[in-house]
Amino acid sequence: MLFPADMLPIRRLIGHPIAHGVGIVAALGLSCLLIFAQVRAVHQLREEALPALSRLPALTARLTALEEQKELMELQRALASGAQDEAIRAYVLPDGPELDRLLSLLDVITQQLEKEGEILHVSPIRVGEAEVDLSDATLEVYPVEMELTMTDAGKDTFLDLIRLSGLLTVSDALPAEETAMLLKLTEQENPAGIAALEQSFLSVDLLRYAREHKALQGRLLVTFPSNAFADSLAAVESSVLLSDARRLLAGDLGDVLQKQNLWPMRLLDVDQAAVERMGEGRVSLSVKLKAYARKTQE
Amino acid sequence: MTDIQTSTVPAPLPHAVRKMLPSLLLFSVVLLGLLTLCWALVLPRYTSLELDGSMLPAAQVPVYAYELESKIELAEAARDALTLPPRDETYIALRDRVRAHVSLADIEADIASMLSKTDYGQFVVITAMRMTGGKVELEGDVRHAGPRSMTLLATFVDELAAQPFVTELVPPAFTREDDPKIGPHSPFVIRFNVVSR
Repeated sequence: MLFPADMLPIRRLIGHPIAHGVGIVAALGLSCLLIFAQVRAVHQLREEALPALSRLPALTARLTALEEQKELMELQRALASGAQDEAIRAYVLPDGPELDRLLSLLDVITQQLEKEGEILHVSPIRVGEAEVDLSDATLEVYPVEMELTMTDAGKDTFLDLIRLSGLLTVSDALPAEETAMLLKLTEQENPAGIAALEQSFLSVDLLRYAREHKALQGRLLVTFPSNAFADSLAAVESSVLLSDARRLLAGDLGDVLQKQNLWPMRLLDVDQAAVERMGEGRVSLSVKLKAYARKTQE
Repeated sequence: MTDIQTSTVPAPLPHAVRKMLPSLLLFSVVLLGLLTLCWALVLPRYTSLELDGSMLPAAQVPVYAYELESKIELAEAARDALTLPPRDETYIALRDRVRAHVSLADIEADIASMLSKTDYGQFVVITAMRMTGGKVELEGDVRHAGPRSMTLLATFVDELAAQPFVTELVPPAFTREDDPKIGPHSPFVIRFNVVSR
């Protein structure tokens, strides 16, 4: 017997029109799902996978360049000394007040500007008691007050010098986005040249940069000869702080600061400033500076 | 007269449908089978992409690109950290904080630049400027403008308030006074806050 007798109910069920209908609906439903899934797969291929594939060669090349640069800089870092950190600790952000250096610095600046005819009178310099820095409990701030009678240009020079104080290298004077832009250019033009960018520009002492910027620029352009890099470098060098550094530190003031061991300069900030015009090109500048120091251990 | 049933008379609809069902079921099952074969065998062959000598399903390619971008970010950060001179974090944080402060000289220059582009700038004389933290006080007067001095002062205040570096400007009292040396003039004291850069 083809079909045992006890299979008759199942056979009847299979042959029933309702079972056929259910089977059709199920099969067509699954077919629709499969059609939808395959259309989606083709759409994904066209809209997502192919555009991503086209980006992969550039991404891979960039990753390779970055890995190469990272290895080069690791080697460079292993050979470097901590001289800059020592200078920061000793001169820029010292432990304790170091009032002698602070007063020498302000004295040298005002004397040089007096010599150039930009300052006509300087009041006594008053240094107050240490105050806690509200933003960093490991630091203390010494208020320094003085009044100066000077020319308009002298006022700008004095305030610009205060703004340069505490900056050690070219990278300290650059906004983060400009540094990032230069680093990105090295990836595209000459990844191995990143060491030259660091040594001939970013890590260069700001005083040395002010005096030798043309020679340093020339050295850099040998490593990165493209017009795009030259234009970007020119744009970066026209930034306010680097322009001020070249203008103010390349001449006699830079020499005096170096000879009297006052470079790098103590980190100062203007807390309060008041300018009053006195006529005949003269202004009175009352300024309260903040001289930062690390709190000494008691 | 009797009704004669012949084979040409169509069966009632339910019976016709009942006859079609097995064929339709067979068609649906065959369609499902073919689509399944297509999904399992044909589609992967045409939607896999070659990458570095191996075939990657299309869905994996954007994931691979995303992972590559993440590796690039990490490598870039590591490279940048090694390229710039190592410094203690206290100094870096303080340097960035101080560098973000706006200088009095910058504010003066910005105001002078703004006035140079107006036709009334020559009448605005700033005699004093005070700055404490981010708060600025500007003192001066509008002079040699005759009866227009107050109007010009109002224009100056409006334009100053619209500058991107100015916020929370407190307008001055508007008045006109007579001075034996400079004639009618409108003195002002304008206070505002500066936006950090």
